[in-house]
Amino acid sequence: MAFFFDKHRHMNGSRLRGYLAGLAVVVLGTTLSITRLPVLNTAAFTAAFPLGVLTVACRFGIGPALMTTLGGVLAFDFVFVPPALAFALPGPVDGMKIALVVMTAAVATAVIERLRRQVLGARRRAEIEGVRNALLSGLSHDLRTPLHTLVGAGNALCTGRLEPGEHQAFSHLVADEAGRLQRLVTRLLELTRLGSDGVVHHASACSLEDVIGAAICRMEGQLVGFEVVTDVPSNLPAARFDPVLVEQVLVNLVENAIRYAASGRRIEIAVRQERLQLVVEVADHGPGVSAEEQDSVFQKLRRGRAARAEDGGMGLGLAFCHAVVTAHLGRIWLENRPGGGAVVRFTLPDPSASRAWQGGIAGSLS
Amino acid sequence: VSTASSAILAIEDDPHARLLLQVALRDGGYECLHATTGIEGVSLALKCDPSVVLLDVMLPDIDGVEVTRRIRERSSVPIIVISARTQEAHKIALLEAGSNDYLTKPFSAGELIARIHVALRGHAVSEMGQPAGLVTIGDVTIDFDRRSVTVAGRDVLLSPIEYRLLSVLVRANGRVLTNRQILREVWGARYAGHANYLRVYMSKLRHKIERNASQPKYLVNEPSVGYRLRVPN
Repeated sequence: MAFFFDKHRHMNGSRLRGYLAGLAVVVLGTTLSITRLPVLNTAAFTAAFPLGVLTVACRFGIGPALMTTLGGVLAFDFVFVPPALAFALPGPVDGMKIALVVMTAAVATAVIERLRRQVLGARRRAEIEGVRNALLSGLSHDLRTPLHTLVGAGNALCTGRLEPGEHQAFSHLVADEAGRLQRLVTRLLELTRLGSDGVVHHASACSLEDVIGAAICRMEGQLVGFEVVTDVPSNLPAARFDPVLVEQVLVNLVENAIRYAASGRRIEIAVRQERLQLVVEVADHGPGVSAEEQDSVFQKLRRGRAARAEDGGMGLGLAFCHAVVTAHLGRIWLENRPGGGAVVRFTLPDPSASRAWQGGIAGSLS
Repeated sequence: VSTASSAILAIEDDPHARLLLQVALRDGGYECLHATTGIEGVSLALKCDPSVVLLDVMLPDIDGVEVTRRIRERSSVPIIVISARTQEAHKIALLEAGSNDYLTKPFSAGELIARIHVALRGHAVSEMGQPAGLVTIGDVTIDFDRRSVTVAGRDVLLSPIEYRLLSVLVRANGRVLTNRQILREVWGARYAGHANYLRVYMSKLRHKIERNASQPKYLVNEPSVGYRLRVPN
Protein backbone atom coordinates (compact mmCIF):
# COMPACT_ATOMS: atom_id res chain seq x y z
CA MET A 1 0.00 0.00 0.00
CA ALA A 2 2.84 2.34 0.86
CA PHE A 3 3.80 2.94 -2.75
CA PHE A 4 0.40 4.42 -3.24
CA PHE A 5 1.10 7.38 -1.01
CA ASP A 6 2.83 10.35 -2.47
CA LYS A 7 6.05 10.78 -0.56
CA HIS A 8 6.72 14.31 -1.75
CA ARG A 9 3.44 15.76 -0.64
CA HIS A 10 5.15 18.25 1.64
CA MET A 11 6.82 19.96 -1.32
CA ASN A 12 5.22 22.97 -2.93
CA GLY A 13 3.21 22.30 -6.07
CA SER A 14 2.10 18.87 -4.92
CA ARG A 15 -0.84 20.40 -3.07
CA LEU A 16 -1.99 22.06 -6.31
CA ARG A 17 -1.48 18.80 -8.17
CA GLY A 18 -3.78 17.09 -5.66
CA TYR A 19 -6.60 19.54 -6.25
CA LEU A 20 -6.13 19.31 -10.02
CA ALA A 21 -6.29 15.52 -9.81
CA GLY A 22 -9.47 15.73 -7.73
CA LEU A 23 -10.98 18.05 -10.32
CA ALA A 24 -9.98 15.64 -13.10
CA VAL A 25 -11.71 12.76 -11.28
CA VAL A 26 -14.91 14.79 -10.96
CA VAL A 27 -14.86 15.94 -14.59
CA LEU A 28 -14.20 12.39 -15.84
CA GLY A 29 -17.04 10.97 -13.73
CA THR A 30 -19.44 13.67 -14.86
CA THR A 31 -18.57 13.31 -18.54
CA LEU A 32 -18.99 9.53 -18.44
CA SER A 33 -22.33 9.89 -16.67
CA ILE A 34 -23.61 12.41 -19.19
CA THR A 35 -23.06 9.88 -22.01
CA ARG A 36 -26.01 7.98 -20.44
CA LEU A 37 -24.61 4.61 -21.44
CA PRO A 38 -26.82 1.89 -19.90
CA VAL A 39 -24.10 0.69 -17.49
CA LEU A 40 -23.47 4.22 -16.16
CA ASN A 41 -26.64 4.69 -14.14
CA THR A 42 -27.15 6.12 -10.66
CA ALA A 43 -26.09 2.87 -8.97
CA ALA A 44 -22.83 2.76 -10.89
CA PHE A 45 -22.14 6.38 -10.04
CA THR A 46 -22.80 5.94 -6.32
CA ALA A 47 -20.60 2.82 -6.26
CA ALA A 48 -17.77 4.46 -8.19
CA PHE A 49 -17.96 7.70 -6.24
CA PRO A 50 -16.16 6.58 -3.01
CA LEU A 51 -13.52 4.86 -5.16
CA GLY A 52 -12.66 8.16 -6.83
CA VAL A 53 -12.56 10.01 -3.50
CA LEU A 54 -10.40 7.34 -1.86
CA THR A 55 -7.93 7.31 -4.74
CA VAL A 56 -7.48 11.04 -4.35
CA ALA A 57 -7.27 10.71 -0.54
CA CYS A 58 -4.50 8.10 -0.79
CA ARG A 59 -2.41 10.09 -3.20
CA PHE A 60 -2.94 13.66 -2.06
CA GLY A 61 -4.45 13.76 1.41
CA ILE A 62 -7.57 15.08 2.99
CA GLY A 63 -7.97 18.51 1.35
CA PRO A 64 -8.18 17.32 -2.27
CA ALA A 65 -10.38 14.39 -1.13
CA LEU A 66 -12.90 16.77 0.44
CA MET A 67 -12.91 18.86 -2.70
CA THR A 68 -13.53 15.74 -4.80
CA THR A 69 -16.43 14.77 -2.54
CA LEU A 70 -18.03 18.18 -2.93
CA GLY A 71 -17.47 18.15 -6.71
CA GLY A 72 -18.94 14.65 -6.91
CA VAL A 73 -22.08 15.67 -5.05
CA LEU A 74 -22.58 18.66 -7.35
CA ALA A 75 -21.98 16.44 -10.41
CA PHE A 76 -24.50 13.86 -9.16
CA ASP A 77 -27.06 16.57 -8.63
CA PHE A 78 -26.31 18.03 -12.07
CA VAL A 79 -26.57 14.75 -13.98
CA PHE A 80 -29.01 12.54 -12.11
CA VAL A 81 -31.28 14.65 -9.94
CA PRO A 82 -34.26 15.72 -12.08
CA PRO A 83 -34.38 18.00 -13.93
CA ALA A 84 -31.32 16.40 -15.61
CA LEU A 85 -28.36 18.57 -16.57
CA ALA A 86 -29.34 21.34 -14.20
CA PHE A 87 -28.72 22.02 -10.52
CA ALA A 88 -31.78 21.38 -8.37
CA LEU A 89 -32.67 20.57 -4.80
CA PRO A 90 -32.68 16.73 -4.55
CA GLY A 91 -35.78 14.87 -3.39
CA PRO A 92 -35.73 12.62 -0.29
CA VAL A 93 -34.52 9.49 -2.15
CA ASP A 94 -31.69 11.22 -3.98
CA GLY A 95 -30.91 13.19 -0.84
CA MET A 96 -30.56 9.94 1.10
CA LYS A 97 -28.32 8.48 -1.60
CA ILE A 98 -26.10 11.57 -1.53
CA ALA A 99 -25.91 11.56 2.28
CA LEU A 100 -24.97 7.87 2.43
CA VAL A 101 -22.33 8.17 -0.25
CA VAL A 102 -20.81 11.26 1.35
CA MET A 103 -20.72 9.56 4.74
CA THR A 104 -19.03 6.47 3.29
CA ALA A 105 -16.48 8.67 1.55
CA ALA A 106 -15.86 10.73 4.70
CA VAL A 107 -15.32 7.74 7.00
CA ALA A 108 -13.04 6.04 4.51
CA THR A 109 -11.11 9.25 3.90
CA ALA A 110 -10.51 9.67 7.63
CA VAL A 111 -9.19 6.10 7.87
CA ILE A 112 -7.03 6.56 4.79
CA GLU A 113 -5.66 9.83 6.13
CA ARG A 114 -4.60 8.19 9.37
CA LEU A 115 -2.99 5.33 7.49
CA ARG A 116 -1.29 7.78 5.15
CA ARG A 117 0.20 9.72 8.05
CA GLN A 118 1.46 6.50 9.61
CA VAL A 119 3.13 5.42 6.40
CA LEU A 120 4.71 8.82 5.81
CA GLY A 121 5.84 8.94 9.45
CA ALA A 122 7.35 5.48 9.25
CA ARG A 123 9.13 6.36 6.04
CA ARG A 124 10.55 9.53 7.58
CA ARG A 125 11.68 7.65 10.68
CA ALA A 126 13.36 5.04 8.53
CA GLU A 127 15.15 7.76 6.58
CA ILE A 128 16.37 9.50 9.73
CA GLU A 129 17.38 6.23 11.29
CA GLY A 130 19.33 5.36 8.15
CA VAL A 131 21.24 8.65 8.23
CA ARG A 132 21.83 8.34 11.94
CA ASN A 133 23.08 4.76 11.76
CA ALA A 134 25.37 5.54 8.84
CA LEU A 135 26.77 8.48 10.79
CA LEU A 136 27.27 6.39 13.89
CA SER A 137 29.04 3.58 12.09
CA GLY A 138 31.14 6.04 10.07
CA LEU A 139 32.14 7.80 13.27
CA SER A 140 32.93 4.62 15.16
CA HIS A 141 35.15 3.54 12.30
CA ASP A 142 36.91 6.88 12.20
CA LEU A 143 37.60 6.74 15.91
CA ARG A 144 40.02 3.83 15.48
CA THR A 145 42.68 5.66 13.46
CA PRO A 146 43.49 8.46 15.91
CA LEU A 147 43.16 6.06 18.84
CA HIS A 148 45.71 3.72 17.32
CA THR A 149 48.14 6.59 16.73
CA LEU A 150 47.61 7.93 20.25
CA VAL A 151 48.32 4.62 21.92
CA GLY A 152 51.46 4.14 19.82
CA ALA A 153 52.76 7.64 20.39
CA GLY A 154 51.91 7.48 24.10
CA ASN A 155 53.83 4.24 24.55
CA ALA A 156 56.80 5.63 22.63
CA LEU A 157 56.85 8.73 24.84
CA CYS A 158 56.68 6.58 27.99
CA THR A 159 59.74 4.50 27.09
CA GLY A 160 61.79 7.70 27.09
CA ARG A 161 64.24 6.38 24.46
CA LEU A 162 63.52 9.06 21.88
CA GLU A 163 65.74 11.64 20.21
CA PRO A 164 64.78 15.19 21.27
CA GLY A 165 63.36 15.89 17.78
CA GLU A 166 61.29 12.71 17.92
CA HIS A 167 60.08 13.58 21.37
CA GLN A 168 58.72 16.87 20.11
CA ALA A 169 57.24 15.27 16.99
CA PHE A 170 55.45 12.65 19.10
CA SER A 171 54.11 15.31 21.47
CA HIS A 172 52.61 17.19 18.52
CA LEU A 173 51.24 13.94 17.17
CA VAL A 174 49.47 13.28 20.46
CA ALA A 175 48.01 16.79 20.56
CA ASP A 176 46.82 16.64 16.93
CA GLU A 177 45.33 13.17 17.08
CA ALA A 178 43.67 13.84 20.42
CA GLY A 179 42.15 16.98 18.90
CA ARG A 180 40.79 14.95 16.01
CA LEU A 181 39.41 12.36 18.38
CA GLN A 182 37.79 15.10 20.39
CA ARG A 183 36.01 16.54 17.34
CA LEU A 184 34.73 13.10 16.40
CA VAL A 185 33.48 12.33 19.87
CA THR A 186 31.74 15.71 20.08
CA ARG A 187 29.87 14.87 16.89
CA LEU A 188 29.03 11.45 18.26
CA LEU A 189 27.62 12.94 21.45
CA GLU A 190 25.55 15.45 19.53
CA LEU A 191 24.19 12.69 17.37
CA THR A 192 22.89 10.86 20.41
CA ARG A 193 20.63 13.87 21.01
CA LEU A 194 18.84 12.89 17.85
CA GLY A 195 16.58 10.08 18.98
CA SER A 196 16.63 6.89 16.93
CA ASP A 197 12.86 7.26 16.54
CA GLY A 198 13.39 10.33 14.36
CA VAL A 199 11.77 12.62 16.90
CA VAL A 200 13.46 15.77 18.15
CA HIS A 201 13.19 15.39 21.92
CA HIS A 202 14.41 18.78 23.06
CA ALA A 203 12.43 21.04 20.75
CA SER A 204 10.95 24.21 22.18
CA ALA A 205 9.90 27.57 20.80
CA CYS A 206 13.19 29.29 20.02
CA SER A 207 14.49 32.37 18.31
CA LEU A 208 16.78 32.07 15.31
CA GLU A 209 18.31 35.44 16.21
CA ASP A 210 19.45 33.89 19.52
CA VAL A 211 20.88 30.78 17.94
CA ILE A 212 22.64 32.56 15.07
CA GLY A 213 24.19 34.97 17.58
CA ALA A 214 25.29 32.08 19.79
CA ALA A 215 26.83 30.21 16.85
CA ILE A 216 28.76 33.28 15.67
CA CYS A 217 30.02 33.91 19.21
CA ARG A 218 31.18 30.32 19.52
CA MET A 219 33.03 30.60 16.19
CA GLU A 220 34.63 33.95 17.04
CA GLY A 221 38.16 32.56 17.11
CA GLN A 222 37.83 30.85 13.74
CA LEU A 223 36.14 33.84 12.14
CA VAL A 224 39.04 36.24 12.71
CA GLY A 225 39.81 37.84 9.34
CA PHE A 226 36.38 37.00 7.93
CA GLU A 227 33.59 39.42 7.32
CA VAL A 228 30.27 37.99 8.52
CA VAL A 229 27.15 39.63 7.12
CA THR A 230 23.84 38.71 8.75
CA ASP A 231 20.36 39.48 7.55
CA VAL A 232 17.83 38.40 10.19
CA PRO A 233 14.45 40.18 10.13
CA SER A 234 13.73 41.79 13.50
CA ASN A 235 10.12 40.58 13.63
CA LEU A 236 10.93 36.95 12.94
CA PRO A 237 8.46 34.59 14.67
CA ALA A 238 9.74 31.92 17.05
CA ALA A 239 10.13 28.46 15.55
CA ARG A 240 10.03 25.08 17.26
CA PHE A 241 13.40 23.39 17.22
CA ASP A 242 16.19 21.99 19.37
CA PRO A 243 18.46 25.03 19.79
CA VAL A 244 21.55 22.98 20.61
CA LEU A 245 21.24 20.89 17.44
CA VAL A 246 20.38 23.84 15.20
CA GLU A 247 23.27 25.86 16.63
CA GLN A 248 25.54 22.95 15.73
CA VAL A 249 24.09 22.87 12.20
CA LEU A 250 24.95 26.55 11.85
CA VAL A 251 28.44 26.01 13.26
CA ASN A 252 29.03 23.16 10.78
CA LEU A 253 27.83 25.26 7.85
CA VAL A 254 29.95 28.24 8.86
CA GLU A 255 32.99 25.96 9.31
CA ASN A 256 32.34 24.68 5.83
CA ALA A 257 32.08 28.20 4.47
CA ILE A 258 35.40 29.08 6.14
CA ARG A 259 37.02 25.99 4.68
CA TYR A 260 35.92 26.69 1.13
CA ALA A 261 36.07 30.46 1.28
CA ALA A 262 39.33 30.55 -0.73
CA SER A 263 40.04 34.24 -1.32
CA GLY A 264 36.48 35.46 -0.73
CA ARG A 265 36.60 36.08 3.00
CA ARG A 266 32.98 37.06 3.35
CA ILE A 267 30.27 34.80 4.79
CA GLU A 268 26.61 35.69 4.61
CA ILE A 269 23.94 34.31 6.94
CA ALA A 270 20.32 35.19 6.22
CA VAL A 271 16.87 34.13 7.35
CA ARG A 272 13.76 34.52 5.22
CA GLN A 273 10.19 33.90 6.23
CA GLU A 274 8.26 32.07 3.56
CA ARG A 275 4.62 31.09 3.55
CA LEU A 276 4.94 27.92 5.62
CA GLN A 277 8.53 27.92 6.74
CA LEU A 278 11.64 29.78 7.76
CA VAL A 279 14.54 29.48 5.33
CA VAL A 280 18.05 29.86 6.75
CA GLU A 281 21.00 30.25 4.40
CA VAL A 282 24.75 30.29 4.82
CA ALA A 283 26.61 31.54 1.74
CA ASP A 284 30.29 31.85 0.92
CA HIS A 285 32.28 33.41 -1.93
CA GLY A 286 34.40 30.35 -2.60
CA PRO A 287 34.67 28.35 -5.81
CA GLY A 288 31.22 26.72 -5.46
CA VAL A 289 30.56 23.03 -6.03
CA SER A 290 30.22 20.81 -9.08
CA ALA A 291 26.79 19.68 -10.21
CA GLU A 292 27.53 16.13 -9.11
CA GLU A 293 28.61 17.19 -5.65
CA GLN A 294 25.56 19.39 -5.29
CA ASP A 295 23.36 16.33 -4.92
CA SER A 296 25.77 13.97 -3.20
CA VAL A 297 27.33 16.20 -0.60
CA PHE A 298 24.72 15.48 2.08
CA GLN A 299 24.62 11.78 1.26
CA LYS A 300 28.33 10.96 1.53
CA LEU A 301 27.92 8.53 4.35
CA ARG A 302 25.01 6.69 2.92
CA ARG A 303 27.11 5.68 -0.04
CA GLY A 304 29.68 4.17 2.27
CA ARG A 305 32.33 6.73 1.43
CA ALA A 306 32.51 7.61 5.09
CA ALA A 307 34.23 10.89 5.73
CA ARG A 308 37.76 9.64 5.90
CA ALA A 309 40.03 11.52 8.14
CA GLU A 310 41.65 13.65 5.46
CA ASP A 311 38.73 16.02 5.45
CA GLY A 312 38.65 16.09 9.25
CA GLY A 313 35.11 14.79 9.33
CA MET A 314 33.65 17.54 7.16
CA GLY A 315 31.49 15.19 5.11
CA LEU A 316 30.31 14.03 8.47
CA GLY A 317 29.43 17.59 9.34
CA LEU A 318 27.07 17.99 6.40
CA ALA A 319 25.54 14.55 6.92
CA PHE A 320 24.91 15.61 10.51
CA CYS A 321 23.17 18.78 9.25
CA HIS A 322 21.05 16.66 6.94
CA ALA A 323 20.04 14.34 9.77
CA VAL A 324 19.14 17.21 12.10
CA VAL A 325 17.16 19.18 9.52
CA THR A 326 15.28 16.09 8.34
CA ALA A 327 14.37 15.24 11.93
CA HIS A 328 12.90 18.76 12.21
CA LEU A 329 10.76 18.05 9.12
CA GLY A 330 12.85 20.51 7.16
CA ARG A 331 14.84 20.28 3.97
CA ILE A 332 18.49 21.10 3.30
CA TRP A 333 20.11 21.68 -0.06
CA LEU A 334 23.12 23.28 -1.66
CA GLU A 335 23.28 25.59 -4.66
CA ASN A 336 25.82 27.65 -6.50
CA ARG A 337 25.22 31.36 -6.35
CA PRO A 338 24.96 33.37 -9.57
CA GLY A 339 27.78 35.67 -8.42
CA GLY A 340 30.06 32.74 -7.47
CA GLY A 341 30.31 30.75 -4.27
CA ALA A 342 28.05 28.18 -2.71
CA VAL A 343 25.00 28.58 -0.53
CA VAL A 344 23.47 25.98 1.77
CA ARG A 345 19.83 26.57 2.61
CA PHE A 346 17.71 24.75 5.13
CA THR A 347 14.12 25.12 6.23
CA LEU A 348 12.37 24.92 9.57
CA PRO A 349 8.59 24.81 9.80
CA ASP A 350 7.15 28.18 10.84
CA PRO A 351 4.61 27.43 13.58
CA SER A 352 2.72 30.69 13.15
CA ALA A 353 2.34 30.09 9.43
CA SER A 354 1.10 26.53 9.84
CA ARG A 355 -1.38 27.63 12.47
CA ALA A 356 -2.66 30.34 10.17
CA TRP A 357 -2.88 27.81 7.35
CA GLN A 358 -4.89 25.34 9.42
CA GLY A 359 -7.09 27.66 11.40
CA GLY A 360 -7.35 30.67 9.13
CA ILE A 361 -6.14 32.99 11.90
CA ALA A 362 -3.38 34.69 10.01
CA GLY A 363 -1.41 37.38 11.77
CA SER A 364 -2.54 36.50 15.29
CA LEU A 365 1.08 36.94 16.35
CA SER A 366 2.13 40.52 16.08
CA VAL B 1 40.53 41.03 44.27
CA SER B 2 42.66 38.12 45.41
CA THR B 3 43.50 38.27 49.06
CA ALA B 4 45.46 35.81 51.16
CA SER B 5 42.97 33.13 50.18
CA SER B 6 43.53 33.23 46.44
CA ALA B 7 43.73 29.44 46.17
CA ILE B 8 41.30 27.75 43.80
CA LEU B 9 39.58 24.56 44.84
CA ALA B 10 39.19 21.91 42.13
CA ILE B 11 36.67 19.16 42.95
CA GLU B 12 37.48 16.49 40.40
CA ASP B 13 37.72 12.74 40.86
CA ASP B 14 39.62 11.91 37.67
CA PRO B 15 43.38 12.18 38.42
CA HIS B 16 44.33 13.11 34.85
CA ALA B 17 41.75 15.85 34.59
CA ARG B 18 42.91 17.09 38.00
CA LEU B 19 46.51 17.20 36.85
CA LEU B 20 45.51 19.25 33.81
CA LEU B 21 43.53 21.69 35.97
CA GLN B 22 46.47 22.00 38.33
CA VAL B 23 48.89 22.80 35.49
CA ALA B 24 46.49 25.29 33.88
CA LEU B 25 45.91 27.04 37.22
CA ARG B 26 49.62 27.14 37.99
CA ASP B 27 50.28 28.71 34.57
CA GLY B 28 47.55 31.24 35.29
CA GLY B 29 49.24 32.17 38.55
CA TYR B 30 46.80 30.49 40.93
CA GLU B 31 47.45 28.14 43.78
CA CYS B 32 45.36 24.98 43.59
CA LEU B 33 43.66 22.91 46.27
CA HIS B 34 41.92 19.74 45.29
CA ALA B 35 39.24 17.34 46.44
CA THR B 36 38.34 14.01 44.88
CA THR B 37 34.81 13.55 46.24
CA GLY B 38 31.80 15.81 46.67
CA ILE B 39 31.82 15.49 50.47
CA GLU B 40 35.49 16.36 50.72
CA GLY B 41 34.89 19.23 48.29
CA VAL B 42 32.11 20.72 50.40
CA SER B 43 34.16 20.57 53.58
CA LEU B 44 37.26 22.09 51.93
CA ALA B 45 35.15 24.81 50.32
CA LEU B 46 33.78 25.81 53.72
CA LYS B 47 37.01 25.33 55.70
CA CYS B 48 39.71 26.75 53.42
CA ASP B 49 37.82 29.75 52.00
CA PRO B 50 38.97 29.36 48.39
CA SER B 51 38.46 32.27 45.95
CA VAL B 52 36.77 30.07 43.33
CA VAL B 53 35.50 26.48 43.27
CA LEU B 54 35.81 24.39 40.09
CA LEU B 55 33.28 21.58 40.26
CA ASP B 56 33.16 18.57 37.98
CA VAL B 57 29.54 17.39 37.85
CA MET B 58 30.34 13.69 37.63
CA LEU B 59 31.54 12.77 41.09
CA PRO B 60 31.52 9.32 42.68
CA ASP B 61 29.60 10.18 45.84
CA ILE B 62 27.15 13.09 45.69
CA ASP B 63 25.64 14.88 42.71
CA GLY B 64 27.04 18.25 41.59
CA VAL B 65 23.70 19.92 42.32
CA GLU B 66 23.88 18.64 45.89
CA VAL B 67 27.49 19.83 46.26
CA THR B 68 26.44 23.28 45.03
CA ARG B 69 23.49 23.38 47.43
CA ARG B 70 25.58 22.39 50.43
CA ILE B 71 28.26 24.97 49.66
CA ARG B 72 25.62 27.64 49.09
CA GLU B 73 24.08 27.05 52.52
CA ARG B 74 27.12 28.65 54.08
CA SER B 75 29.21 30.36 51.42
CA SER B 76 28.90 32.67 48.43
CA VAL B 77 32.19 31.57 46.85
CA PRO B 78 31.92 31.56 43.02
CA ILE B 79 31.34 28.04 41.70
CA ILE B 80 32.28 27.18 38.13
CA VAL B 81 30.82 23.89 36.98
CA ILE B 82 32.65 21.69 34.48
CA SER B 83 30.30 19.56 32.39
CA ALA B 84 29.84 17.88 29.03
CA ARG B 85 28.03 19.56 26.18
CA THR B 86 24.86 17.52 26.00
CA GLN B 87 23.64 18.10 29.53
CA GLU B 88 21.60 21.32 29.32
CA ALA B 89 19.00 20.19 31.84
CA HIS B 90 21.77 19.45 34.30
CA LYS B 91 23.45 22.80 33.65
CA ILE B 92 20.18 24.58 34.34
CA ALA B 93 19.69 22.66 37.60
CA LEU B 94 23.23 23.56 38.68
CA LEU B 95 22.85 27.25 37.83
CA GLU B 96 19.53 27.39 39.68
CA ALA B 97 21.09 25.66 42.69
CA GLY B 98 23.52 28.56 42.85
CA SER B 99 26.47 27.82 40.57
CA ASN B 100 27.86 30.92 38.91
CA ASP B 101 28.99 29.63 35.57
CA TYR B 102 29.80 26.53 33.67
CA LEU B 103 32.56 25.40 31.35
CA THR B 104 31.80 22.85 28.70
CA LYS B 105 34.33 20.10 28.06
CA PRO B 106 36.50 20.31 26.07
CA PHE B 107 37.82 23.73 27.03
CA SER B 108 41.24 25.33 26.77
CA ALA B 109 43.38 26.53 29.65
CA GLY B 110 42.84 30.08 28.36
CA GLU B 111 39.06 29.75 28.63
CA LEU B 112 39.38 28.37 32.15
CA ILE B 113 41.47 31.31 33.30
CA ALA B 114 39.14 33.80 31.55
CA ARG B 115 36.11 32.33 33.35
CA ILE B 116 37.94 32.48 36.67
CA HIS B 117 38.62 36.18 36.04
CA VAL B 118 34.94 36.78 35.27
CA ALA B 119 33.90 34.88 38.41
CA LEU B 120 36.29 36.81 40.64
CA ARG B 121 35.20 40.15 39.20
CA GLY B 122 31.50 39.25 39.44
CA HIS B 123 32.00 38.15 43.03
CA ALA B 124 33.69 41.44 43.92
CA VAL B 125 30.73 43.35 42.39
CA SER B 126 28.02 41.29 44.10
CA GLU B 127 29.82 41.62 47.44
CA MET B 128 29.35 45.36 47.06
CA GLY B 129 25.58 44.85 46.79
CA GLN B 130 23.33 46.56 44.27
CA PRO B 131 25.21 48.28 41.48
CA ALA B 132 25.24 52.03 41.75
CA GLY B 133 26.72 54.89 39.81
CA LEU B 134 28.12 54.27 36.36
CA VAL B 135 28.86 50.83 34.98
CA THR B 136 30.57 50.63 31.59
CA ILE B 137 30.64 47.50 29.46
CA GLY B 138 32.35 48.01 26.11
CA ASP B 139 30.64 51.03 24.59
CA VAL B 140 27.51 50.63 26.74
CA THR B 141 27.26 52.79 29.86
CA ILE B 142 24.52 52.33 32.44
CA ASP B 143 23.88 55.03 35.00
CA PHE B 144 22.13 53.21 37.82
CA ASP B 145 21.35 56.43 39.70
CA ARG B 146 19.66 58.18 36.80
CA ARG B 147 18.38 54.89 35.31
CA SER B 148 19.74 55.90 31.92
CA VAL B 149 21.74 54.06 29.28
CA THR B 150 24.06 55.34 26.58
CA VAL B 151 25.58 53.39 23.72
CA ALA B 152 28.73 54.88 22.20
CA GLY B 153 27.81 58.23 23.74
CA ARG B 154 24.24 58.26 22.42
CA ASP B 155 21.34 58.19 24.84
CA VAL B 156 19.19 55.10 24.38
CA LEU B 157 15.62 55.06 25.60
CA LEU B 158 14.76 51.74 27.24
CA SER B 159 11.33 50.64 28.41
CA PRO B 160 11.13 49.72 32.12
CA ILE B 161 11.22 45.99 31.25
CA GLU B 162 14.19 46.41 28.94
CA TYR B 163 16.02 48.39 31.62
CA ARG B 164 15.33 45.73 34.25
CA LEU B 165 16.45 43.00 31.85
CA LEU B 166 19.70 44.82 31.16
CA SER B 167 20.39 45.54 34.83
CA VAL B 168 19.76 41.92 35.85
CA LEU B 169 22.36 40.80 33.31
CA VAL B 170 24.77 43.56 34.31
CA ARG B 171 24.43 42.59 37.96
CA ALA B 172 25.28 38.99 36.99
CA ASN B 173 28.45 40.45 35.44
CA GLY B 174 29.23 37.79 32.87
CA ARG B 175 27.58 34.90 34.68
CA VAL B 176 25.10 32.76 32.78
CA LEU B 177 21.53 33.25 34.01
CA THR B 178 18.93 30.63 33.17
CA ASN B 179 15.74 31.68 31.40
CA ARG B 180 13.76 31.06 34.59
CA GLN B 181 16.13 33.07 36.73
CA ILE B 182 15.84 36.05 34.39
CA LEU B 183 12.06 35.73 34.11
CA ARG B 184 11.71 35.60 37.90
CA GLU B 185 13.92 38.64 38.40
CA VAL B 186 12.44 40.80 35.64
CA TRP B 187 8.78 39.76 35.48
CA GLY B 188 8.26 38.00 38.82
CA ALA B 189 7.91 34.40 40.01
CA ARG B 190 4.55 33.86 38.34
CA TYR B 191 6.12 34.42 34.92
CA ALA B 192 9.00 31.93 35.28
CA GLY B 193 7.55 29.76 32.52
CA HIS B 194 6.95 32.52 29.97
CA ALA B 195 10.10 32.11 27.91
CA ASN B 196 8.41 33.88 25.00
CA TYR B 197 8.44 37.21 26.94
CA LEU B 198 12.16 36.85 27.45
CA ARG B 199 12.80 36.08 23.78
CA VAL B 200 10.81 39.06 22.56
CA TYR B 201 12.31 41.56 25.01
CA MET B 202 15.83 40.23 24.57
CA SER B 203 15.49 40.87 20.85
CA LYS B 204 14.16 44.40 21.48
CA LEU B 205 17.02 45.11 23.86
CA ARG B 206 19.55 43.78 21.38
CA HIS B 207 18.22 46.04 18.66
CA LYS B 208 18.77 49.02 20.96
CA ILE B 209 22.12 48.05 22.50
CA GLU B 210 23.95 46.04 19.88
CA ARG B 211 25.39 47.37 16.66
CA ASN B 212 24.05 44.27 14.92
CA ALA B 213 21.38 42.32 16.79
CA SER B 214 22.13 39.04 15.02
CA GLN B 215 25.85 39.31 15.78
CA PRO B 216 25.62 40.29 19.43
CA LYS B 217 28.72 41.44 21.28
CA TYR B 218 27.05 41.69 24.68
CA LEU B 219 23.71 39.90 24.95
CA VAL B 220 24.59 36.33 24.10
CA ASN B 221 22.30 33.31 24.17
CA GLU B 222 23.39 30.01 25.64
CA PRO B 223 21.22 27.58 23.65
CA SER B 224 18.73 25.74 25.85
CA VAL B 225 20.11 27.30 29.03
CA GLY B 226 19.78 31.07 29.18
CA TYR B 227 21.68 34.27 28.51
CA ARG B 228 24.87 35.94 29.60
CA LEU B 229 26.24 39.43 29.27
CA ARG B 230 29.62 39.19 27.65
CA VAL B 231 31.98 41.62 29.27
CA PRO B 232 34.89 42.52 26.98
CA ASN B 233 38.27 42.35 28.71
